Amino acid sequence: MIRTCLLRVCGLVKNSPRNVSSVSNESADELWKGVTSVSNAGRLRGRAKGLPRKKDLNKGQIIGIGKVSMQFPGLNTPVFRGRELVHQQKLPVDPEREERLAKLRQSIPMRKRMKLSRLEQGWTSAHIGGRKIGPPDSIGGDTFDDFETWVLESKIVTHMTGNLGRKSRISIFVVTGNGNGLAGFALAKAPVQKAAMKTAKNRAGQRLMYIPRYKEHTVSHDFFTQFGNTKIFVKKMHEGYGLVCHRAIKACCEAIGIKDIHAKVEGSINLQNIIKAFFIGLLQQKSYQQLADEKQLHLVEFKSENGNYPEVIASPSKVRKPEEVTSHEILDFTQYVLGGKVILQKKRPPAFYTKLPSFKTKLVKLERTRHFDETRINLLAEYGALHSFLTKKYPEAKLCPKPKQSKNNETEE
Amino acid sequence: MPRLPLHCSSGTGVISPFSKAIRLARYGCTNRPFYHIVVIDVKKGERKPPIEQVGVYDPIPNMHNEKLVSFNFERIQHWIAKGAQVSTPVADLLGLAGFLPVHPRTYMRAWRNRRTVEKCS
Amino acid sequence: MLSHHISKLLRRSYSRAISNCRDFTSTNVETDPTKRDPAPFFFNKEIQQCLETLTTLDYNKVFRTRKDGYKQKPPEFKFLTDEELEEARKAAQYRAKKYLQMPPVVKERLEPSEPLCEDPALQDHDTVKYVFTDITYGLKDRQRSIVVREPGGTLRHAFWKERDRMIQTFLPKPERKLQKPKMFEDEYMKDLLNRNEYEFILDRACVQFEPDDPDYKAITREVYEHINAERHFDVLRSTRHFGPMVFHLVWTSNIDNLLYEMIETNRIEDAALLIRLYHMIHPTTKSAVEQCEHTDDVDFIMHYVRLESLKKDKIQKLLQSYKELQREREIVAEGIKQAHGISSENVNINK
Repeated sequence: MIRTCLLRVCGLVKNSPRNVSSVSNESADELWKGVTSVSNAGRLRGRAKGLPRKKDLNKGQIIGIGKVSMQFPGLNTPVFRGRELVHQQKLPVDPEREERLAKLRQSIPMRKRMKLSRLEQGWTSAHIGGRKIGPPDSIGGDTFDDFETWVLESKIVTHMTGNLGRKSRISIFVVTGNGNGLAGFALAKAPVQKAAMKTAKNRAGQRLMYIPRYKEHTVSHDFFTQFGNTKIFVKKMHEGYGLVCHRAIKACCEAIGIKDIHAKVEGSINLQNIIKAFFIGLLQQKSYQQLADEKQLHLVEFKSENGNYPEVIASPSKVRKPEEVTSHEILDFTQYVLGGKVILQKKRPPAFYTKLPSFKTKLVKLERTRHFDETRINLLAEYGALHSFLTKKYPEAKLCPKPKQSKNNETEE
Repeated sequence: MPRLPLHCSSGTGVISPFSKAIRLARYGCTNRPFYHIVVIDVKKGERKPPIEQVGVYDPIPNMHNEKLVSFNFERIQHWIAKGAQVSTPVADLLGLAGFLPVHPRTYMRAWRNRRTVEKCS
Repeated sequence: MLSHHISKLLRRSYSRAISNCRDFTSTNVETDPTKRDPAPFFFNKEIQQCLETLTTLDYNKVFRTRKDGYKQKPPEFKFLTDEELEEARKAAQYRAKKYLQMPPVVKERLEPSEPLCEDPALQDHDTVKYVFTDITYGLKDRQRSIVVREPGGTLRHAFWKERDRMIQTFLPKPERKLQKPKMFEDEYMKDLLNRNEYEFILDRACVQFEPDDPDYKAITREVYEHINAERHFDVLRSTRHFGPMVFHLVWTSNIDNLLYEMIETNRIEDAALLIRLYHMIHPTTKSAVEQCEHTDDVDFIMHYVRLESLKKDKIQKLLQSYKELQREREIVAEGIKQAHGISSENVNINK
């Protein structure tokens, strides 16, 4: 029945004298709707999942070309060829046409893969935040070759207008940078997300600033910074420490090219304020020469991995004598660069269960296993398996691992 | 499972007015004996907390075919001077170590071993 | 019954009869005439001074980034006055000296030979031997008495291998392994040597072995010989192993390669010092007996090379070229002086 309906829809069977029913009177769109749609109640119950899609059943068919290949001047051939008038005539039948059409209709075009990989999808799979969207577009010969842009925030913002009422737009906050000291951030709004992203990243590309780094891996010194009620304590860290901070600050650091940092956000956690505060702090850092000049003392670096050998980083033109250094001034470097602040570092209280009597019992029971891992590794290193020097003497006492594990062991060895 | 409660390896250090003994206390597990040499009240049980641990004795030979014994000779001397008794197995070991005269039981064991070897051959 | 009486008797005698067999005397005091003992030479003050000078203290190398397993800390910054900076530098110099403390070069240890006592009545008392370790608190490792009762009834001091094992068992050092690490086995060792990881091998050997251990001797000898053959002396320079290496080369009268390298890198003073060190340790050799008349370093080296070196031609050629280079440099320096003669005077006048 449906077949005839579809045929009818396709226009292949016209004015068929038989099979007259109420169904055949409906148009193609209505028929398709019956297949591809669900009621609202059904949609709420989840019946809209995996529905068939509307299909073009006339795919590959061109007006003027059919089963019987005819030449229609004015339809599928020009009326005049040179000066000659073309007449309507029958051409030889193409035997492969049917096959070709069937093949074309069967081949379903691959649907675009919407899901991004875990590495590309940003902070979460649900939102665009943290996703990379490529470099800003070049403007007037300025190209942004090594740049990359991170979306930090995407949200719908609304306002009321006189004649439209509630009008909503997409607001996008991005940071762009080349990972080598240059970075900028910008906010843009547009009715569509795509347009907003484009504007935002191009705007960010126009607001670049240079941020000096210490040995191209971390900030120059610890600092405290505030914007609104958002306070950030940033600590300079050694190489290999990584980015231990808010995810938005992490994206900024990646854009700037900072690799090792520890940052703690306190107070308000408004994302735009966090970024503003962080950039303000970065720009307000002092150079080592400046610090040494301010204090009129040598600035000396001690590195633990280099045996704490004193390395003079900056010295002023004139160094003060020890008598001239007053007792009340701040001499501690960290406290000085934090503007006289001292960070309160609370000790983490022990977990509640450590006070329970059962925990003590557990510890005593676990005492037996205290060297198990070490011994296991040593035995594996020495005998290649969990054997001992007694295994030779008593081969019947050998540990027989399960077949699956033995395979793994062999591959490991 | 370990012997519970585990005692401090240096001993409790609580000294009673009763007479003391230097003797072995079995630790380790089933089929794998391991002994602590402890100073403890004569009448106290093996599993009670000792006054002091003065050594260990591993009766299972190791991969080099040795039985390992360790003694804190200074403390042993101290306790013997205070009149502590020495149990036979400990006296046996101390005799073999050359700290005390060789215990007669050791001689007897040696003699018996020699005799069985002769019989077998 | 008899045993009961005897044990009673014994128990009475325990309080008095405490045989003191714990006096441990190392038996390596004997001197072997064929092998000289390097220790008195090595610990001689003058020779120590020489070795320290030859090591050349280079702060950049001594305080290089070390991968020593400690957790890294963020660098510390300080505001210092001139005096405090000087103090900090002095403290660092002191630490550098500690870093460069040389591992001692001593004679190989000898096994204790005589048994403590033999008791035939104890034969077959057990099938295995007993090892008794003294774990008295506060003793040094060398003072600790470790004795072994054999199944045959003999009581003897433990061999050195056993001693090391027992001390590591009962009083373990965290960095030392109970068994010799596999990296000291031949194949792995060769691989490490080919990768020029000399310092790693030597450091690990220092941790693992005592300085008079034959294993330690063999390993260090192998490393030193490899360095000498490949002429990678610069890898060890400014480390604590350079002194012992030089001492080993001088001790075995094999300093030609080192001398060549020193002249090549324009360390003429060091080269002369090396030869003086050689004379101190081997006072009966030709060049030491025949006093050199010249006081100049180059001539002094020439004197040695002529008499003793096996690579006479090479080193002499190198010295000649060095002399010529020096002469040319002097000429250039004079030229520069002449060219700047007026300007330098002007500066003086301005001042």
